[in-house]
This record gives sequence, C-alpha cells and structure tokens, in this order.
Amino acid sequence: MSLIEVEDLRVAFPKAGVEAVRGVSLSIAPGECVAIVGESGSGKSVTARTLVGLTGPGATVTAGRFTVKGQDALRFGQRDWRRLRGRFAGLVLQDALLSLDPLRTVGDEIAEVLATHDVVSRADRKARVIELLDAVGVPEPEVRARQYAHQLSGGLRQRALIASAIAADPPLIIADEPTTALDVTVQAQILRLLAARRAEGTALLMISHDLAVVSSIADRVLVMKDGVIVEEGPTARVLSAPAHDYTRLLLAAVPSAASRGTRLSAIAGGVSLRAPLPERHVGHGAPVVEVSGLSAAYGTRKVVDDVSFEVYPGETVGIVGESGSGKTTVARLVLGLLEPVSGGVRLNGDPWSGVSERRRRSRRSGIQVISQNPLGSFDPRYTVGRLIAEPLSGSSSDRKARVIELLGRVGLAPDIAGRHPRRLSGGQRQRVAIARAIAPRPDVLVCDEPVSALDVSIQAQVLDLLAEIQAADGTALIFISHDLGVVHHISDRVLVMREGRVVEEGHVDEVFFIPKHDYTRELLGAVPKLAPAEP
Amino acid sequence: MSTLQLTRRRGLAAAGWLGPVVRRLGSGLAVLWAAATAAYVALLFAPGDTVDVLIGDGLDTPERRAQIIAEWGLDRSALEQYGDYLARLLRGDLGHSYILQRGVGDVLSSQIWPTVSLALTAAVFGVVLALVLALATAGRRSRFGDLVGLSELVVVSVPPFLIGILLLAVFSFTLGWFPVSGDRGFVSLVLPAVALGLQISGVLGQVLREGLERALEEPFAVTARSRGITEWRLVIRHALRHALLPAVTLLGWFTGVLLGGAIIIEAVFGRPGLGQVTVSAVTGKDMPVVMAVVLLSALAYVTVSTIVDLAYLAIDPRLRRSR
Repeated sequence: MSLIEVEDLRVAFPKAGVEAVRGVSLSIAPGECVAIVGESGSGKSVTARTLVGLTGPGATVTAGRFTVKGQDALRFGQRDWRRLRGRFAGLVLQDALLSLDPLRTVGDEIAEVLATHDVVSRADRKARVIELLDAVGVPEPEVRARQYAHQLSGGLRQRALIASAIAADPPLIIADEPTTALDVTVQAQILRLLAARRAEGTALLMISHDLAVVSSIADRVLVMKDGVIVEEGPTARVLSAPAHDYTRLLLAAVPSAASRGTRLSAIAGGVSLRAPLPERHVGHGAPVVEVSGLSAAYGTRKVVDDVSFEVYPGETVGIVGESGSGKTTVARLVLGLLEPVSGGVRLNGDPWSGVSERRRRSRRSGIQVISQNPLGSFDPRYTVGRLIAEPLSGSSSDRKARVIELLGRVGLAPDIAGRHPRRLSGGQRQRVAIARAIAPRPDVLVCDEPVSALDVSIQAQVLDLLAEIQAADGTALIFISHDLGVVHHISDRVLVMREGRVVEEGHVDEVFFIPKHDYTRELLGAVPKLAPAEP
Repeated sequence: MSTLQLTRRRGLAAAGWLGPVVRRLGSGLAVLWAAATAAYVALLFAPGDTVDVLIGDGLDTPERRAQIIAEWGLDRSALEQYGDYLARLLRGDLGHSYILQRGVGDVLSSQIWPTVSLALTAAVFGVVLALVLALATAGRRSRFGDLVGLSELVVVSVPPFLIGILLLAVFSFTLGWFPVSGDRGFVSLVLPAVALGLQISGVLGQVLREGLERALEEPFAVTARSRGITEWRLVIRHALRHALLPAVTLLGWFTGVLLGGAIIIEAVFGRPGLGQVTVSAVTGKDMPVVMAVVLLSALAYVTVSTIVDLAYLAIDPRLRRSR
C-alpha cells in the first residue's frame, strides 16, 4: 500500500485568482524516494505542503482521490491532519535559520515533536533529543541542544531541523529545498544524511529546483511546470532521455564544463539548444585589473590574506569558495569600497587602492558591479529608466535614447523604462542591473553571485547575456560564485579561495579536471552530478 | 526543559547577560545624573534671583530668604553649591517647599501611592485586555475580530479624559455602581484605571495582533505545524514571544501615557495624587516641588527603559552577546 496516493490534485487560491496546482497525480511507496523538480511558481512546494494538509489559509483543495495511509484524506479535519503531521510525515524546509523558531533552543524545538506525539515519557525527552542530534551527526549534542539556531552553522542547524522532522520516526520525510541555502560541501553532507535515512527504510519526497541535487538520491523524478507534471519517470530515464521539451530545456540550461562556449538558453523562437556563443577575444599585454599581495581584516580577524591576480581585457576570472572564504571581500577591495591592510589594486595600470575617493571618482565608470540581489542596490523610488540613466551624461533625449538601446541589449522592451524594479521578475531585475552596469561602458564588471538567486532557466539567459556583452564590448569579468558549474562554464581562469587565501589557481579546465589542492578536490567531490542514482 | 531554566543553570555571565546588564545600569545612572544636573541648571539660569525663584508664590520675609541662602548654599561658589545639591539628592533630601511649608520628600511620599496604584492598575488592566483580545482574534477573520479592531481604533482616537467623563456619566451618575470622586479604596480606582488603561490596550492590542499574525506566517510556524501541534499551542509557545518584541518597545510610551494621563484623570475623578501636586506646584511656581517631579519622572523613565532593554534580552536570544 502506498503511503500517499493522490489523483488529479488541484489547489487554488481563489482570493489571489491563482490555480497553483492543476491536476497532479502521484504516489509514494514505503521506502521510495520521489523527487519533484521545477522552477519557482511551478507549484511544487504547494503540492508538497498539501500532502500534509498545510496548504495554508484561503486555499481550496480538490482531488479525484487522495489517500494517506489508505485513509481518505479529503474527509480529514484539522485533528486528523495533526495526528499525521510529525508522526506519519516529517517536513524539512529550506534554511533552518528561518524554519526553526529563532527564539527557542534547538532542543526545545525537537522536544516539541516528542511531546506532541507522546513518543517518549516526559522524563526521557531530554535524553531522546540528544540521541536524535547525535543520530543526525551533530557533534557535542548536549551543548547544541541548549543553543539557538543562530548559534549553529548552516549545516548543523539543517541537521537539527532534520532531527526534529524524524523525532517521531515517521515513515515519510518531505524535504522542500533542504539544501538550497547551503555551501556545496555542506549540501553533500545533508544529502548523505537523507540518503542514510532512506537506506533505513524511510520514504523521501524531495522538492528541488536543482535536477543535479535530486538525481543522486531519487528513484523517480516528476518535472513540474505551471502547476502540471510535464514529465515523470525513473531518474535515469528522465535525465538520459528526456521526453518533454521543458525537461530538455532544463537539462540544457545547467552550466558545466561541457557547456563551455555554448548557449545555455534557447534562442528566442528557436528550439536549437547549445548553439555556439559569439567569439570572445581575450587581450594580452596590459591587464585591466592587477591585484598584488592583497590583505584585509575586519577588526583583528584577517578575512583576505595575500591574494594576487590579474585580469586581462575580455577575460573572465572566476573566484570560487564557500561562505566566509573572503571572496566577497575581494570584490569589495577590487571595487575600492574597502581599503586593504596591505597590498594594492591597480586599475588600467594606475593605483586604485590607497588613493583618495575624490581622485577615484572620475575613474569609477571603468569598473562596475552586479550583485546577487539587484533590488537591494536599486533606489526603490526610481523607475528603471532613471536607474539606468543615472551614470549617463549628455542631453535628456540622448540619455533617453541610450536607455532604450541598453534595455534592448539586455533583452528588455523599451516600456520597461517606466516601471519600478519592484514590479519586475527576478530575471528582469538582474537584466536591469546589467544594463545599468554596462551603461558607462566599463572595462571590467565585478559580478558577485549574480545568478545565485535565479531559477536555472533564467540563470541560463543571464549567463548567455553576459557572454554576449563580453564578446561585443571586450569587457573583462571578475565572476564570484559558490557554484562550480557556473564558474566552469563562464571562466577562463579560476581562483579557489579558502579562509581568505587563494589555495589554487590556473586555467579553469586544469584546476577543475586535475585539481592539485585537497580543498579543491573536496569542493569538486561535493558537487552533485547530473547522473542517475546508483541502483 | 524551558529556556529560562537552562539560562539559570548556565549562569548569567555564560548566557551573555552580564555585560548588557552592567552597561544598562551604568547608562541609567548617567541619565539620572544628567536629569538632576539639567534641573539644577534650569534653576540657576531661571530669570530673576534664585532666591525669588525658590520662594515662588510663598511668603517672602528676610528670615526666610536667609534660610534659603543657607539651605541651598547660595553664598558659596557655584561648584560647591552643585556638589552640595547632588549630595543632598543622594541622601534622599529633595529640599523644602516654601509654599506648602513642608519637606518636598514628605509632600511627594504622601501623594505618590494614589498615583502609583492608579498607574499600575491601569497598566495591568490595559495589558490583560490587550492580550486576551489579541489572542482571541489573531489569525482568524471573524465578525468579532472586526468589531475588536474597530473598538481599538475608537479607543485610541478618543482622549482618556473624555472616556473618563463618559464612564462617570454611565456608571456613576446613571447606574450608581461606582463613586463619583475621591479615593475610597479599590472601588473608586476602577473607573479611572479603565479610562487610563483603555488607550494602552487599544495600541498594545493592535501591535500584539499584528505581531502574532506576522509570526504565524513565518517559515518556523509551518515547521511547528508540521510537527502536529495545535494552533493554540503554536500561538502560545511560538508566536507570542515574537509578538512581545514590538510590544515591549511600547513600554516606554506607556510610561508617558500613564504619567501624563494620570494628571488629567486625577483631575477628572477628583483623586489625590502626583497630578494634583504637580499642577498646583506649577501654577504656584513652587520650584523645589517641580524639580522633584522632574527627577521622579526621569527615574520612572530610566527604570522602565532598563526593564525594556533587559526584557529584549530575555525574549530574544539573538540580541545576547551581540557585539
């Protein structure tokens, strides 16, 4: 008997006028791992939450058939659902910093499940909490149980969240983007932990935007788009022989070593994938940016330690590393937003660090930035047109014409100029950020995690756009990312950073195919591959 | 296994409390000192002779002038006077009212309890009412909830003295349930406390409800629900603490409402208290009493804001040990 069986599930939010799920059928057998893959707004999270009766207020749920443990879930009241939650299915959400109550200790959060379902007697609860933390691989569980989510590292608090989901030993875990906010090595650990639970017989429903993440663990994959399952089947089959265009598009959009020099997104109107990108010319001779022996510290803590590199015209230099490795600090130093403790930065041959801001100002147009969250870098009262025109000079009509031209270059319609960035989608906002960054015709663009918050298909479009701009303008890129696939796709050379130091650097193929440093090997080993699960 | 027990077991210092507590007490003392100094400077630079200012509308005789000069040390250097003044304050000597012919400390201590009992009763009434209504209506759209929201808005917009007069008209004059004026035990406290407390409950209720509703939409609330707990438990065990954070911020504002409101409410209900004392001291230019009232309200504010800051630490562990 299946744990959950649902046919023709429909979830609508009538007040918002949205039908989020439109006829989804799925079943989960005991011990099975099923994955739902889709982009934001595909309805995958709503589907997952509906399976435990947590669709939220104002939703109407209908289904042809909906059974949980063989019982008719369409007749469930709140009391029936409560009995199942935690006991029958444990829920693991993204980012435990928000998904664990920040005002309660981790131990109290886990004990809540034990108390609600009377798993163990009151006297044994504390001991059981510590056992559970130990079981999910949290070191020093006695100490951790007394701490709060913000006192734990990202990996530890995600483990704690999993401990609370499995506290009542449910036969099913529903994991909604369980590794999305995590570093790649930590992500690998969490995936191993979930796989271990599965090996012990727990069924797993994984929700993710990342095909690679689920491919290592799922038996079956369901690809969801606009509330509908467009394709489903065994993981190996879906990945190797996708039947639906959307699945093909998703797979082709994943950047990797193999996608270098090719487009990730389909050209508008066309279906041909992986078309070659325009030729890019990398200059030699004088570098645009020269960084030598750069060090920086916050207080007494050294965050960047003796970093040196050059960037040549038209070249892309990738910087990879996990959170806290100092890669964003390097970006701030290169942009001249932070003064180094020692070492220096030269821009176009002239000193850039250690000079007064007054002398830097006229040269600032030569170096521009694209950040992860463009909305935070926009004045919310400005229209898109005003944002892009800000660095431009000339008459009002000249500037207006140039704004339209720039919008065209980043693939946006001219009427976007009158809109406010808040009203745009994430991908459109990042295009606006790119248009603003290239407006003063910079020699180098510093991109700090520019595609990390985007869906894979949007990421593909933005990466293609950056490549086009580079080919046309000969702009150099400093590309900072935690995503090794993205960096391998776009970069010529790469720097691997750890704890403020560059541990390895070189041509991206050399570094990623024949890594010399242990840490590079560890990073590469942790990257989930688009390969079917081992039988 | 409550968090508070754990905190106690680990000791104040380990939980990151010691530093903030010491810092808060230190800055509280500094504010009190500044208030005392400001009151003193205001006295010295008030227009006219300091002796005239201190006498106010009191009887002006050569003997009394000599007494004031001796008492305030006005024949000595400014620095010595100031030192003397602070030393007297530290001993608890607030000076002498030349109009009432009594020690200021004596005047205040006889009048402080009616005001404190009024303010505390009003605060307890306001807080309890706000909590009950917020818990009963948060997260549920109902006709009752709409009615509560509307009443809160009305209560916040109407000045307390008007509420007081309305209460008097209904419950004292018409129904005769409560005395019209004076201080005759708890019965006479009810209407003034309600008049004063309603405004607090109106504002606090809105803030609490909004805080509860916001907390109930956070991801951790989804996680908590996914453990199978009831909505009521979710509100009490999780959401309420989150809602308390913005509510606690209002405590400082309460102090102002209660102090300022007490003066008016005491007049409306003909109650004795600091309000009456302050009004007659200001109209009679009784400077020593006015200065003492200033110091007293500064003390009240410092006490409350210290409590507020420590309450933040108690509620939100993220603020402890933050540098």
